[in-house]
Amino acid sequence: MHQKSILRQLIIPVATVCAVLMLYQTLIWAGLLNASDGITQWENNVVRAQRYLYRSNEPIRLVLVGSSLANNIKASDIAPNVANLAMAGGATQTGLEMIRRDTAQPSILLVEINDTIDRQEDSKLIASLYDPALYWLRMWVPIFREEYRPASVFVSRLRRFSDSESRQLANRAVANPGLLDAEVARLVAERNTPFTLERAALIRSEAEGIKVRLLILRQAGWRVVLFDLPRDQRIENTTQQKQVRAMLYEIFPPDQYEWLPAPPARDWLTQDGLHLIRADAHDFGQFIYDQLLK
Amino acid sequence: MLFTSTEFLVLFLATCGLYYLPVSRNFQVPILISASFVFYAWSSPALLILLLASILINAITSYKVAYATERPRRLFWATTGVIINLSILAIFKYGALLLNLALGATQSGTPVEGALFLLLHLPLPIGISFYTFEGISLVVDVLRKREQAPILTNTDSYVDRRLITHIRNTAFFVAFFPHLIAGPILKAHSFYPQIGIKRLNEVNWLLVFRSLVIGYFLKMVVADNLKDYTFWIAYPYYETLGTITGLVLLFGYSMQIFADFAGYSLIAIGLAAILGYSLMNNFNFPYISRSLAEFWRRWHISLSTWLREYLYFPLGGNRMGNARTYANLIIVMVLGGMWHGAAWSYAVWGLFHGIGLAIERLLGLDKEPLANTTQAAWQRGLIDGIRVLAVFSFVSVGWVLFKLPDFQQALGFFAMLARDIRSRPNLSLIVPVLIFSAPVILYHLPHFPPLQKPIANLLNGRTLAIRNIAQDVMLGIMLTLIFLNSGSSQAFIYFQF
Repeated sequence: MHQKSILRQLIIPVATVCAVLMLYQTLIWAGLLNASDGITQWENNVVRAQRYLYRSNEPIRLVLVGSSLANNIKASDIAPNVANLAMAGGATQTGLEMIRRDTAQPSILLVEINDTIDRQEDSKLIASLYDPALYWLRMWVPIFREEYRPASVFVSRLRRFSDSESRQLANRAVANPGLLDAEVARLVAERNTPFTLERAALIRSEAEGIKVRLLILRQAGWRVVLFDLPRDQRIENTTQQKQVRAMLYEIFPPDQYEWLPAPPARDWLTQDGLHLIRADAHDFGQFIYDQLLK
Repeated sequence: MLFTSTEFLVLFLATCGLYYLPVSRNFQVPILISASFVFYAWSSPALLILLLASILINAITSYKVAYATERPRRLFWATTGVIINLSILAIFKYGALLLNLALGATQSGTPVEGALFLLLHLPLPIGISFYTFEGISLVVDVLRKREQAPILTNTDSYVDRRLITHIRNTAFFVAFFPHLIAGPILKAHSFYPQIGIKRLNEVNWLLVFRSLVIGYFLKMVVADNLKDYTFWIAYPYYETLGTITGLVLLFGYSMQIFADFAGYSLIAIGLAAILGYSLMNNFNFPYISRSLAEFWRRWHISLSTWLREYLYFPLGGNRMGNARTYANLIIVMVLGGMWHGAAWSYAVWGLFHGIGLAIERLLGLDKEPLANTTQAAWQRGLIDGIRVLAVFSFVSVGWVLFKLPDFQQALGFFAMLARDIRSRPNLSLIVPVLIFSAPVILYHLPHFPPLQKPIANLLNGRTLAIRNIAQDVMLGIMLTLIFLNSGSSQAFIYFQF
């Protein structure tokens, strides 16, 4: 086939791509489309990471890193100019790696520390965030950021009609108590046996790795505060929970590392034994504000 | 290495650049073999040894079949080739399953050690099911060809007289990277004759462009996004879904598995076309099938034709009476199910389809409905629609065993569907699943017989130029969505097979 004919075949699809991209970018610049917070767990992680990367120059007062446990605390639950880099399904190390690569003015770094650190750093996410070509493309052409994926923008718009934040906060009950009890019973049974040697060694080695990263960040001027989130009381008292708590206090002794004080004693409600319900996550955010930013 | 990864793009561009250089013209096949080995060995180089062994065994046995002068010798080498291929598959894919079965039968409580321990923990080489089937195809095709031509000449055989050249060609046939990991399963008789010098100006760029854009769109925009919702079908998450949400997610999984595999196959076809090779079409709009038999003529065509040519026909096909035909259908489908994975649920999936095919044949539902002049078009359309829906539902129920290979969990999913009828539909899962499934439905619709005529009427008034422009604009929109709305990349579902 001749070169000319190949080009003729490509011209309409390529022109369509250019036209649609320009139109979409214009709609976003004109403020006619709102960014999405992400409609899946992975997307939500990427959106919050990219928002941190491409934020304005305003100084951040506090950065939170952690797993899905801290993920459902919204940054706005704590205060303005707070960033939450806790990754659902992920671990503290991913957020720490982002802080390490960042040139932000040091402030307070709130680090969730518990058995979820055995999930290790999400190297796939880190690689996609810092891909040399895509990093710059996303910086200058926002439509390539995760928060502007057309399907997510559309679905988020639909959700806004049905799922208001105030309604979620007003709901202080557990969605499905029967399922919660079943899940807690399963977790208690699972966690009442001591860690296997391999898992204990993995948690220890990841904690040691975190320790090294924290040392570097502290030297750079960050105020590092460690914390864990409240869980269902039945799970708090399991063998593994006690074991991991003891191990982490040994690696990060309270006389050498600042720990967030224990939250007020109350019945913290969870969806599944581990993750706080939305209203209680909001309250825990307020508790962080009271302790560190007030 | 994934077709959607940056490292693959680099490897492919470098290979193409080298491949079409005029000075490389005589080395095109070795260049593609080398690139294929890099592609295969990228994540686990050790598994390349098994691939090399398979290539060597198939090359030697097929060579012996082609050039043995006596028929018994030819049969001996062909049988040896098939047995070795099946043994490789049995050891690496089914070794652990069979051993566990044997240990369960003996009820031995002692820990497994030595060779048995090794067998239990063998890694599953990627693409093993594909390349062993291709090896069998080579040996059997050469035997069949040889049986037809008692005196073999170079013109009527694809087995070169020089063993080294035949080994090279076999390495290329088995390892050619576009199809190596997840098909389409090549047949020797359609691939070997294509081996030769290729020129860039002979490439069908229209086919390349369309295959790659549609393939990457199906994979990256449809399947990779749907997987973020269909993961809720996993245990124990599905317990929270409720009937309507569960059914919509199952529908979404049916769309995902099609988009994932059809997308992969189209990418493979497009990549092979850039290199001057033609791979068979693997999917032909399977979700508009009006019978299970039609579904299997449209779904994973390279596997279903392989099973037909190398298993169903040798078993007697439909030539030995009704009872034997039903038995053959069930045997072929159970073995076809087991081909997908070393778990009993795959055998049950095959049995499910086999029984479905047998019952359909028994009731005469496997045939094309005869044109009934007394029926109005809308009546025929309605009947076709009901049949499509029935086949799609049947197939979707079967996919549960793919998503949940643990049989108990699969049953648990169905129990949840029956139990939680009153649960509120979860719109935050349902809406995105429907959005990402829509392209698959739109992709199928124009090929659905009741709609073909109205669509043809609609297009009749338009000039060819306008239709082509509309198609090109659609391709442009798909390309835009690949840039803007691709999901997080994930290995292709069929890689595990």
